[in-house]
Formats: sequence, C-alpha cells, structure tokens
Amino acid sequence: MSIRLERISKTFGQTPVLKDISLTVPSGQLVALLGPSGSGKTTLLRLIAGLESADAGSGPILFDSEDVAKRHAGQRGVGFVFQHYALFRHMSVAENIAFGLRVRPASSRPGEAAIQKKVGELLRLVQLEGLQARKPTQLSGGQRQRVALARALAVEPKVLLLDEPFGALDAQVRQELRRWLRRLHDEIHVTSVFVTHDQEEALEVADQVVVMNKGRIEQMATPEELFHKPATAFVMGFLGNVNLFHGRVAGSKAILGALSLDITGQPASHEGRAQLFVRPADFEVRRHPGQGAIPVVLRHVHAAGPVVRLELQDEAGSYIQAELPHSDWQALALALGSQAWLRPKDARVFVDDYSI
Amino acid sequence: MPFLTSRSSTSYSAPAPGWLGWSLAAASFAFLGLFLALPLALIATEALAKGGRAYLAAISSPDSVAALRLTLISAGIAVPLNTSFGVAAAWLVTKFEFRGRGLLLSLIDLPFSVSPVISGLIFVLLFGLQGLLGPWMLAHGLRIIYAPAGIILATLFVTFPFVARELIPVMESLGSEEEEAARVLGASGWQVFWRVTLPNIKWGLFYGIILCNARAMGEFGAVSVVSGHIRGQTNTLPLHVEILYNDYSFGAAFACASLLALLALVTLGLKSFIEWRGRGASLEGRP
Repeated sequence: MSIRLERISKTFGQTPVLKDISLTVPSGQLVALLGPSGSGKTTLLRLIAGLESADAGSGPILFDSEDVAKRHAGQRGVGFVFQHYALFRHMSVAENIAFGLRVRPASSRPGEAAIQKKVGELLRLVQLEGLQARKPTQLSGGQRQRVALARALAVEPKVLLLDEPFGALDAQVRQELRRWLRRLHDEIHVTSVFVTHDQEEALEVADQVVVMNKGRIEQMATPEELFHKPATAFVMGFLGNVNLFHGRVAGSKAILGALSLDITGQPASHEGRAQLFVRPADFEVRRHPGQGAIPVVLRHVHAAGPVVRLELQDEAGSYIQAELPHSDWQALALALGSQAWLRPKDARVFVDDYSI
Repeated sequence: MPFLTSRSSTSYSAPAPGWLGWSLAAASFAFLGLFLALPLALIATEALAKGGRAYLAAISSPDSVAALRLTLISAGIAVPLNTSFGVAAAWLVTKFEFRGRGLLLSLIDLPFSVSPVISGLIFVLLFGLQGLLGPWMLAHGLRIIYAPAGIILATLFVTFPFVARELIPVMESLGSEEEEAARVLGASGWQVFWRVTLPNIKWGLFYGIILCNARAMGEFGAVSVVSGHIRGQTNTLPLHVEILYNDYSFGAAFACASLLALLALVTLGLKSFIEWRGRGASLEGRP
C-alpha cells in the first residue's frame, strides 16, 4: 500500500510544525524520515497514523487511493511502534501482542485458539519464543522493542510506522536490531516509515530517505543519491562528517580566503556568498605547498580505525577533519604540530540556498 | 495535602542516627502518643467502661442505628459519584490541553480551601427557606435543608476533590503513550479506559476512594450546618456523637465514637496495604 500526503500543514498553538508537506511513499518500501529534533518528523509520522490531525485546509492523506484523513487511528490499519515502546505494563508479552485482536468487535474477532496461534507465530518472527509469560519490565530494551513490533504486526497492518525505533537502545543492540529490521522488512514487505535523527541509521536501513528541516522536506532520495547529490546545504551538513567553509562564488570559481577553486561541470551563473563542503576523505594531505592547497597544522591523529583521521587547524584557527588510508599516512610521515597543506579534491558549493 | 506526597517517600540509606536523630524520633513518638494513641485508647476505655452489654445497647439504639444508616447512605452516594467525577476530571485535566484547565484545577481544590462550615452555609443560603431557591423549592415540595438530601449534597461537596487530586499526579506521570498505542490497535474509548487506563491507575484510585470514604463518613462541619440535628432523621454518626455528649450520655457517645474510630483504623490499614502494594506495582512498572 502506498502512502501519499498532499499539502499537509500542522500548527501547535502558534508554532508551525509542518509547512505544506507533500510526500509519496511507494508501496512496500522502507522509508526513513530523517531530521534534527524539532524538524517535524515525528509529527508527520503521527499524522499518518491518525494520532494528530492536520490543520484545516490541508490536503488528503491517501492510502493507495483512499483518503484516510478523516478516519480515527484505529480504523486506518496502521501499526505504530512508539519510541519508548508503550507496552501495556500490566500485561504479559503474549497479552500485549494479542491486544489488537482481542479488542476487535465480536463479529471480526478471531477465536481464542486462532489468537494463540497468531501470538505464537509472531513470537517466532521476533525471536522471543519462550518469553510470552514475561512482563515488559522483565525484558531488555531490545526485547521490548521487538514485543512492540510484534504487537503492531499482530493486526496485520497495511502500513508500519516506527518512531525512533532504536533511539533508546545502546549502540551495539541498535546496530543488530536495525539490520534485523531490514531483513524483517524484506521478508514481510509491508510499507514502512520510520523516524530517526541518526543519518547512519537512515542511510543504512532505508530504501529512501526523506530529510526534513524546520517543518519542510529538504530532499527525498535513495541513500546513495542523497550521499552523492545532496540537494541543499542543509542536507549536506546534516549527513554529517563534512567540513564547512564560508566563502563566495565569482564566475566559475569559488573563492575561499586566498584560495580559489574551479567549479567544474556546473553552470555558474550565480555570484555571492557561498558555503563550501568538503568530506574528510576528499582532501589530499601534502607536506609541501601547491596549487589550490590550504596551509594547516596537524593537531591530532586518530589511527585506531579503518582509516586514519586527522584533525588539522588552518590559519584562521578553525579545525578541519581529513581522512586518508593507513598506507598514505605512513608514506606521509607527518609529526604532530608540523606544517602541512590540504588540497580539496572534490567540493560541493551552495550559494545562499541555491545549489550549483 | 500531605497525602499527595506521602507515597513518594524514598528510603534513604542514611548513617545510624546520632543524638539528633534519636531526640527527633522521641519527640515524634511522644507527640503521636499524646495526640493520637492516647485519645484512641481513651475512646475504647470510655466506650467499654460500663461493660459490653451497655456498649451494644448504645450502638444498637434506634437513633444510633438511624444515624449509622444515614452515614452509610450518604457515603454510599457521595463516594461512587465523586469517584466517577474524579476519574473523569483527572482524565480531562491530564489528557487534554484546553482553555480554562487552570480554572478547573482550582475549582477541584475549592472544597479543600473553604471551611466546611462555610460550605454548609452556602447550601443553606441557596436552598434554605430564606435562600435563593427556597421559595421555589417550597412551592414544589422539595426539601433539602434539614433533610437527608442536604446532608448528601454537603458530603458530596466536601469530598469532591479526593479522587481527582489523587489521580492527577498518577495519570500525569503515566503519560498517554499506552493509550495511544491501544487506540492505534483499534480499541474503542471504553476499551482503552477499562483495559489500559484503569489497570494502571487502580492503586491510586483505591487510595483516593478510601480517603474520600473516610471523609464522607467522618464529615462534621458542613453536615452539621444543613442537618438540623433531627434525631432518627437527619443525624449522621458524627453529629449523633455530639448530641449524645451534650446530653451527658458519655458512655453512649464514646460507644458511637468508637465506631468512627474503628473506621479510621480500617482506613489506615487499607491505606498502608495499598501503599505497600502500590509501591510494588510502581517498581514493577518502572521502565
């Protein structure tokens, strides 16, 4: 089932949280809503679920071709996994999972045997067999998360919505669980939307990522496209681990202090202040000055990883991150505090919200 | 409202108390002994001073039985009504943001901040013969003042805040995620309430009901103003004790007082039990 939202706005009191959002989630995909806190991503998710209603004048919320905007949360056929799980604390794991089936009106409620069978299947699916009699408090965070997922899946939702599904877990469980979620999604193929503020999580798990900022969608794209062709300075910055330089653009050159870089392959009709982003791996680190290189001083080396991470300080005093392979680092033989030069091999320039 | 905070007491692993600790403890126990244990013992000895037979005769006299019945009836009406009101008000105040929420909260507290005698007087001014609605009610043959209806109304008013006041902090700390989860899973409003909300608030609710009941049965001031003290008709147990005492029938007065004291002890026992259970439940419910 596809989800389509058209011209959705939401205001809490005087504060606009979502501004004229239109979004299409293709059927069967796993889509991430990515953004900083306050970007409106959770509100958008709750709107799809029916836990919030959009401002008057907003467009429809379509599940396939059916407008569900006027329907109650319980009648939309969605599964919702809350950030803090929201398990019913007085019920056992099995009772939690069976809840959605037991509250159905008598006419559509499955028999007790069918409910037990379904609960058993779901416990197997989320790998919690044998824990059906436990209370939520007797489970670890990761186990609670999976109970919440099983409970949401019990009603066979057409759409699965997850609010920061791994936000409250520690790093290792997070990694494990998000790969598991990806595999689970490949198995059951229910259209899923999850909210996260962790770009790594979004890029790793999702088919498509929607980057949100201040109540608007900045870009919706596949992780690969997002990484290589960020549409806005915000997306570029939010995807993390980039060096930002403020400069200006003149003609086909980006001017950055004493440095001028050619902007190649892009029409450069704009002039003005610009933001220039360089990923740490896109620097060439040299011992000697050269064309297009910035003088820096090496301040810190972090070599315990797949690549060597350097922290360097430019003449203005700001820090720049660079990354290079271990072999290059050894060949370079730089000492802490010594002078070096950085040459950006690749840079992305954004002129005042306008990408070139 | 000390009962709001009494449950959140945590156990501190403080070092063994020095002389300050001992003297504070001694002062507390001396105070409690003087003002609680001693009067309670006095009630028991005075009530039984003329033997068990006299005690039974005193509490089974028609006037005493009538007073007891009226006490039970007014508590039996006030407690369920104020329980449903309290749950509804707590739900409204904690689950919704609306204009006038602060005003509603102050109104809920009003009976606590007004002297009970004044509350009784309000009803006299409203429903009494010279009151605002008096002539109209006389014309329609309705009696509230100096009648059981007035006693029930006064009890309702005075015991109004207990359940709501007890539930509001409980429901606030629970948040509404579980209820939202239930709604998304297709539960109706009633199902959400019975299956999710009520099990989570039940200990707080019991606690509120017990306090509400204790006050409903023990209320003196407000009821005294509207009652008219007609023996066998508009006397509640606390009023009956006063009448007997003023009649110099001390034995009978203390006998009836012992019933109220017994109620207090039962309330205290239930309250401790619920605190003990509720603490277990809240520890269990901690994420």
